[in-house]
Amino acid sequence: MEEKNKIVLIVPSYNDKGFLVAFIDTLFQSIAGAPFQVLIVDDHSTDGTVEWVTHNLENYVTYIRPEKKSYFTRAVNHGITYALQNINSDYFFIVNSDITFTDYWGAGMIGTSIEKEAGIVGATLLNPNGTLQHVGAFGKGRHIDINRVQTRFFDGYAPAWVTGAAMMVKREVFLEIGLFPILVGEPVQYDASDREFCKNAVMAGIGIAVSPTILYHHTLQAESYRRAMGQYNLDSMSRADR
Amino acid sequence: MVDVWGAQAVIANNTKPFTQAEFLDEIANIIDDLKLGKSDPKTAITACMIAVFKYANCVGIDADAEAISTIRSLVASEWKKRTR
Repeated sequence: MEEKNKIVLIVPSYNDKGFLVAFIDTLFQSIAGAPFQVLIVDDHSTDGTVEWVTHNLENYVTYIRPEKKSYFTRAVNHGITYALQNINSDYFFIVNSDITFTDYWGAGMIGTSIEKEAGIVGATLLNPNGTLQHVGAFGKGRHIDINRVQTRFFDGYAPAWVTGAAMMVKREVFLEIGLFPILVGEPVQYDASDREFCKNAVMAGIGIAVSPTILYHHTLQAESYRRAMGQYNLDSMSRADR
Repeated sequence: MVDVWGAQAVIANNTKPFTQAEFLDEIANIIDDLKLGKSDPKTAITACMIAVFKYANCVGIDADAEAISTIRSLVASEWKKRTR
């Protein structure tokens, strides 16, 4: 009998070998509570990611590389499209490579989706020091609205959007509202496509929820894209603005 | 025990370029299958969506609700003709 509620983790990666080691380590050492598969979308890394994956993860992950460099949002879209065509899963978990996992992450995320009847589910993201980083957000606000944090697990809580750093989406949502919007042209999109994707979902009547499932988010992966392109001067930006 | 399902060997599975001609061919084939009864509307729509997504990814445009709506209408129209 075919297994139900499979998750495919779609992991965009660009020169993230250091993060991927911790990602894979905690992923495979944690108890997921649901069958999962890993799809790494490598965006033409030059740091030896390909060699590391090839030598260490054979038979554990599926690895694709777009024909040409795609940047973050398009890399995610390549992964979603590949998974729709080739992987039979109910849930697509778009997740940054700088995430580390805790036990029962899979069961927790699926449980929230079922319980809240949500097509999109975000995780409770903590900083490495255990402080809260993201539990969904409203408007164009920053990830953390500490004054409202205590309200976020009440039954009626529904955020306007959840970060694409760890966003689980039911398969049929993509067939309803499409892929992540491309907001700005080449070379780098400011990472608001997650917010716009959620906005499209809300307009289509698709529910968004935040799971109490805890994941650790070590940094903002998009930084590696920005650094690579030299588009932003990170030193002049406060962390909350990134 | 790690609960991994369906893991494949690592594959350097490049996403191939997908030209407009190939995209249109693929849509036509999907609709033909639908007309010939080799497919059903749900399968056809999903296949069309994937074709739209592949094409959009290759040319760098949005695969948004409008594109999906157009495809749905196209498939529904062809399905109506076949079942008329």
